Amino acid sequence: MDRIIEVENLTYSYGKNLAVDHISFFVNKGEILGFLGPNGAGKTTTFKMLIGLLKPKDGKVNVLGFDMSKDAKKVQTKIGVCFEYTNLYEELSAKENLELFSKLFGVKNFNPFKILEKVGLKGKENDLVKTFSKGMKQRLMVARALVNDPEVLFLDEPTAGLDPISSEEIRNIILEEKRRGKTIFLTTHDMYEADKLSDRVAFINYGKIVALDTPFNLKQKFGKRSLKFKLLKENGEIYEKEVTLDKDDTLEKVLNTFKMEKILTLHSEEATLEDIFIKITGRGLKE
Amino acid sequence: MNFKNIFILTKKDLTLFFRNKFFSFITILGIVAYIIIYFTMPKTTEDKMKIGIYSEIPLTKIYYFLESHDVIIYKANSLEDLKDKVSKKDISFGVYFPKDSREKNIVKIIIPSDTEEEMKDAYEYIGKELFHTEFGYPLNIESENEIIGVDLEGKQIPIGKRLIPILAFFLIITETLGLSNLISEELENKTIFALLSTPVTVGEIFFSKGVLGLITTLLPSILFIIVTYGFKNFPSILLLLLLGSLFAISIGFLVGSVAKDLMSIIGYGMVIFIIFLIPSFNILAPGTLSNWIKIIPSFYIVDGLHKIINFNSSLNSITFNILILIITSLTLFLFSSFILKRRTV
Repeated sequence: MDRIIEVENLTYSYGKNLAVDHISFFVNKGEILGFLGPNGAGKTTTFKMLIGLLKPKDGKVNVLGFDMSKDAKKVQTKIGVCFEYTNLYEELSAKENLELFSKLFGVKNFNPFKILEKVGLKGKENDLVKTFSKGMKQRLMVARALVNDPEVLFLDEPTAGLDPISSEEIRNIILEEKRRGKTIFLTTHDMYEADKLSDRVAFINYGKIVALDTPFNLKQKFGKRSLKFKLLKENGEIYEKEVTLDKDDTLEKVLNTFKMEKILTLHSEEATLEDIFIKITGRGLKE
Repeated sequence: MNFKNIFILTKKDLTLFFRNKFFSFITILGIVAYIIIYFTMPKTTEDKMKIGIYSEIPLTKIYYFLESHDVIIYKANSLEDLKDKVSKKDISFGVYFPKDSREKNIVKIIIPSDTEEEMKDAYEYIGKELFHTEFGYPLNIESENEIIGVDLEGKQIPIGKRLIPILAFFLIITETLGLSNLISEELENKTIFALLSTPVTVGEIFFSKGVLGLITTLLPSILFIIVTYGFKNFPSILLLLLLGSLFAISIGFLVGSVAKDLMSIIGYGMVIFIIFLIPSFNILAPGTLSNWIKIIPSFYIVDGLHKIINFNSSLNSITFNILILIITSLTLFLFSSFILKRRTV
């Protein structure tokens, strides 16, 4: 499998404050790597170094086989970037924003209407961006990241602050790009998003990667699965019972419950990525 | 440096510049208003004096004397007519000879109320001189004039022509606000990071801003000079306007790199305007300011333009102005580049 992004011993500090502390990881072709961590963990600094906006103090970043410290401009023709903050030209229309970037990328026969339709902005092509809602702006940001049909997408908190419908629409666009074979580096502090979209997730805490694996493996390794019963006593009292799965005595406990008690409801539960993050780091993702 | 990218970015900046109603309004207003101001100002200097005379006795020598001294004479029909002409300022002042002026040694001088004290004395002196010219009593006064510096007698510069270099500089410096705003918005809205994540370099971004600055500062000032002054001494004027524009662009970069929003741009802009407009007073009223104004770099723009436009000076005579403008602009560019570099990380 081709490694599209390779990071070795990457380090960055703001003065004496070490923001990214000797991290190493890779992203394979067609893979979505979720970069998960709370605010200030070092996600955006790593993101900026990967897209060539910051020069690492130490370590190496290779994207598409190019060394970012030497060939950033070559790489930037082949990547698409969506920033955490809205940085569109508000006095230009949606179409003008996309056309500007398509020209800078040297895209021939660029069709802004097609891409705007893809992100659900059909009919808004000629409206000035300043008239758009936050959700519409974010969709336009994603559209801008796609103008050069990039091989790699770098998305920094693409759904931050959006309503559930807009977030879901953006997630669907990301998944569609994955289906088209694009490699995606996604930073987020939304564990649901990371779980739903990522092939693998990296947990970053205080500038260090503390875990990196598939969401399934992380849950297997650090989380616990259980069955939760809601039961009815003879005297009419309702109570709850939890049976931990994947243990030697799990089957016996489950069977006993079925035999002895009157079950009102039953559902399985598994640890979320946030639970696992807390377990590993001792702090929450929303801190 | 990719010139295709610079062209694309400059086109984008021009679109944004003219989409900002405030800046497009002051650009057009500046050109139109300054041209109107120029054409409403006097184009000639009045170096002939107009004197009104009303006499109740026949005069024989005064008219001949005045005409031989290039003085325009208005012969009033009555004292009221004379006073009317003075009050309307059709004449500089009036001289009234009553019936008994010879006997009583009397002549009346009629002067507008807003005449300066020095001029009142001069008019009074002329009146007495006329009296003695007519009646033959010579005045026992001797006077000697010595002209120090450039003798501008007969070569006075009309206010309209004095205004040309000043208004051209106003046009240049006003446009720096728009440039500063574009730079500040690019930094504050972080659109610069979107541009830098494409093949565009930071050098291309700021070079395109410089091109925009050149278009918005140089073109209006050239247009103004052509309309008001024509193409005389054009290469020299063009060079000074270009240096003036580069100086203004460097100021625009500096303000844009430190300002956070439009209000702070206007705030910084006001301070800069007030300081940089001071040397203009020296051209409007020579001698009113002392040598200290030469520490203000804008002096070398207006002074250079003034010398070329109003004295037909050669480029050689303004070499020092050119040198100062180049050094100041380069220093300001370096300083603002340093700040901009810090803000793009």
